[in-house]
Amino acid sequence: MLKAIFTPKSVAVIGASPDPSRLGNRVLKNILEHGYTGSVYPIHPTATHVLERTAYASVLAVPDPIDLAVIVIPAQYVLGVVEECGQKGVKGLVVISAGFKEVGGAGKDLEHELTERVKHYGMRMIGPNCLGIIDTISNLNASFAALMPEDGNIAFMSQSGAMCTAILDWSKPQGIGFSRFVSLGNKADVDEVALLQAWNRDEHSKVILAYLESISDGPGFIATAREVTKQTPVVAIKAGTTAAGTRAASSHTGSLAGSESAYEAAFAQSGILRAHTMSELFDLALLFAYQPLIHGNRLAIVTNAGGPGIIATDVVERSGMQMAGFTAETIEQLQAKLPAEANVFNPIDVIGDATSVRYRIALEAALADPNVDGVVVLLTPQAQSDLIETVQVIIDLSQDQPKPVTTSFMGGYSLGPALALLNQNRIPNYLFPERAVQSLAAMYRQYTWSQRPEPEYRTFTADRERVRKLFAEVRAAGRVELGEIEAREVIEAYGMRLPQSHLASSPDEAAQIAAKIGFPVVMKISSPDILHKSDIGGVKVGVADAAQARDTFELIEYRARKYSPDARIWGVLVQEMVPKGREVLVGVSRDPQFGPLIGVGMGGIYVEVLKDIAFRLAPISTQEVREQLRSIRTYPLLAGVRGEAPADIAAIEETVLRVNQLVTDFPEIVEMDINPLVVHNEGEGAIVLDARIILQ
Amino acid sequence: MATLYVASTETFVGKSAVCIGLLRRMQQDGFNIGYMKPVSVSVTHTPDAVLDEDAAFIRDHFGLKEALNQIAPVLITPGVVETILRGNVQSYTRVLRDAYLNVSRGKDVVVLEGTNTWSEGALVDLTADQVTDLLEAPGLLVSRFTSTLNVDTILSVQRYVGDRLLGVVLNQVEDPQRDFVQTRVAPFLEARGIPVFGALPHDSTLSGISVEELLEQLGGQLIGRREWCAKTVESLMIGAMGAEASLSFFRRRANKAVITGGDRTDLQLAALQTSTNALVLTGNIKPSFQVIDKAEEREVPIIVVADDTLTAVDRAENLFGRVRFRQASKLTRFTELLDAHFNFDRLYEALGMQR
Repeated sequence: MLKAIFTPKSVAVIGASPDPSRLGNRVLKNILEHGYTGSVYPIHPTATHVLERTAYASVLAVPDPIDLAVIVIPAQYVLGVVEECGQKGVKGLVVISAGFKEVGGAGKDLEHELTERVKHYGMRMIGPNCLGIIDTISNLNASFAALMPEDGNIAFMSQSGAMCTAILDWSKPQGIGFSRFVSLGNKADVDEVALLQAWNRDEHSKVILAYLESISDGPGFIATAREVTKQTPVVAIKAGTTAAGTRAASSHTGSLAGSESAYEAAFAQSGILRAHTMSELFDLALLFAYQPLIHGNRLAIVTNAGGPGIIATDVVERSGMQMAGFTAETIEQLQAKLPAEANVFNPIDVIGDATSVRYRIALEAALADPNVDGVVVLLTPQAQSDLIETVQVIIDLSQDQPKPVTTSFMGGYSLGPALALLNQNRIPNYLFPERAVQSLAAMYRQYTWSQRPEPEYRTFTADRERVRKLFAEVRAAGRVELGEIEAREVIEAYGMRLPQSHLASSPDEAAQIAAKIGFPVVMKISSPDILHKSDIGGVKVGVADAAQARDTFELIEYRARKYSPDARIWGVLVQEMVPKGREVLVGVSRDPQFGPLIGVGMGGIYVEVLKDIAFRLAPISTQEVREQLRSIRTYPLLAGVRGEAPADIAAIEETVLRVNQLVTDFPEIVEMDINPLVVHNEGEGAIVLDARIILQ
Repeated sequence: MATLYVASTETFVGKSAVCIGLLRRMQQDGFNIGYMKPVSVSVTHTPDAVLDEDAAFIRDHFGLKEALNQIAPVLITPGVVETILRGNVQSYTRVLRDAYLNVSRGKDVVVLEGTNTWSEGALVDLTADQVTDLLEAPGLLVSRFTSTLNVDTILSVQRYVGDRLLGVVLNQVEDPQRDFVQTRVAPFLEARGIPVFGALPHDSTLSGISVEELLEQLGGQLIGRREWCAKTVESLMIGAMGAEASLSFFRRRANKAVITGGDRTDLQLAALQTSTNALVLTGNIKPSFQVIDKAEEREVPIIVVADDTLTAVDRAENLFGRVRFRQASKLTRFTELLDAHFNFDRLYEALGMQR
């Protein structure tokens, strides 16, 4: 896919100017100077030759077929030449020209027309408003970037053109190479999803990196990424995740940024490794590009200094990895060959006066140990250190064996040649040990992801028709929020348990209902304008008899009126008293980019104070709901602490999955809260006490 | 000929709408209708006239032939008040009676739109009590049902005017209260000899204001097409939170106007993602072109005002509650509600009108 763009047999540069100060000239020069072997056709209205190549007035005048056209002309002429490209049978376009959606108004309409035209002719297009693309496999630099990156096996896409130039400029002296390098621009046609698809199973790319500001097609992105990440690691950084960052992103891209929680869930569910900083992005990129995939989480550390070894050990623990426990053979061998002062247990401390000889002994033993899945070699430059020789040892031993090796040579001044040698030989070196360990931890996440079984989805029998009718009624009444009674009906239709409950509009009625339900009962104010009912004293538990029911009705109504004189008060809800249990919240908010985002957490203070909620995007698989619930910090409280019986975790999972089915069946549900879901002990089920539903 | 005085004890209960609704149906049922507003308290001054706009609207709406100064004969302008306070007494009773004789000539029924409160019109001796007495017109009390306190008011009115209270219509009854009103309140009033001609459910489309009115009230610059301003705004929401929370917040109300700072692109985009019929941007800051594009796509008018957000909210809020009925869509909706929930036969019978 997208072959015509990355490996075209012929390229036309539309707007290739003889004037070296023009962008079109730069683009043509880039194509000609970096070893592209296909045919190249400058297109210019008047010039006969550009950079010594025969120029044509239009693509239609070119006698041979053209695979790719790079367009570098003012926006108002783009439609015309795209039309010609279509007629000519050009397959791919890279539109560098700016002046489209990013300038608004007429530009937006122009971009719409452009996309239509491109689709009409079945072409594919990168851009508009981009830097261009670079492919080091076909040696094609169809961009106006000043540099050509080194060859490599990192595929990179970026929504920011400026970020592209910065990274190119930085990577060059680092010797970091790329397979493909794409500036996405306005993503009018080819977006991140199309590129992921194109780069799936790409033999030239060991890792895909993405710098993203917004995702156009959330569900498509997840589905494609889920597929791709099974084989190829995808590391992404999403700009604009904090409150201030989101505001900046909205102003910059003009699109409503999806919520941070939605991105977090999308990445988790599609196996994308998320980098939070640019340095993390490249830390991971290098490890994946240079080293084999780790197959377990047990690390060995080899060091010539105690301190860094301990720091590294701490990070191993913290990042969910393990310090490998060596076999007896390994320990014996190390004891036999290393000086007595050396530490032969993990971390292996070869001591400050170590030369490459000791490093060889330690690394050899660690790599040979079946209990070790990966090795981090630490070095602090000492008087006796023979840096180049040590690097050579690491290179020799790490080659042609299946375990990843990373290094952290700490320092700078004396390390130059050693670091260059490591880099040339594809050993990722990190300035500090924690980055080395964290990168391996991310690699392990990739491994576990690639081993995951296919997701399974559960469906329940539900009364869809009843809900459909109810929603139609609510809409017909011009409302968006369901009343309490209506919300209960929906919950019931989807097979979730509810306590008996009725709305009373007078004290007497409350007493009658309560008697029918059976004392004691719970009474709650029913008002669409009062959200936090218990905060205003609008909930009374344990109402014991008819007299209390009457008094409670008046008290609750009085409190509600006092709190908000203008509130619409529908009455007081009289409810069966449910035995105490652990309170859980299940919430749904429809994300504009990704669809229904379902959160689960322990209710009350845990949610409000600790913000302890885990999110997943619908549809949620049985495995995902299991992970979701276990990823909240208060999960141990559900599992039971200090001899407490465990809560009915299966019932919580089932509730989440039923809600998942409900919001998937009815995309018009934009907000939904089950709060609280009272969960009883294992095997005793869960019951929905209160639910809120808001429609589009 | 029958005469009906439509009364209320507080402002903005839907009195004008009830008048129009009754007149429409009566006309449909073949009656020759007349309309009057005996006393006009809120009077509009235009460069060439002083008039009661609501009365003028109703006159035009039904194509009534009588002159406006006959339909709304007593306008209480500051000048009139001043004259009375100086002691120059003029008989407004006479003015009204003459106009009434004129308007009612040849009619089957005349609907009189009463004053807002029980005391209004006392200065000119034309309170509800006095007018119903003078013109021998029984009164239909329009009461917005919000709580049982309304029952007090209705009973007091009965005590005051006795038989001249023909009955009540309970307006804007919230959905969950309807059962209570029908099974408790209405039977109670009936037992006390007060017929309940109808209990009309609350309808959010009726309580809205048009974006046009909002624009007129706030001033400021309109971005977008004039025709989008015909949209109805049912509530106001203020955008002042973080972007992450905003979407859930804005989703809670349909057909709203969102008031937020002109620099809050994130909130403006979130609002446009939900059911929003107008964006009011404060601080005289124009929105980014992306917001304008999005608004255009959704046909949402943007009003840019110089006020700060708090002031803009204050001024916009003044509009709500004093809802104008002069929109075709609202009138149609209200007529539907009356048809469904108002017992016209009973009213005709009480007024001695025969089809």
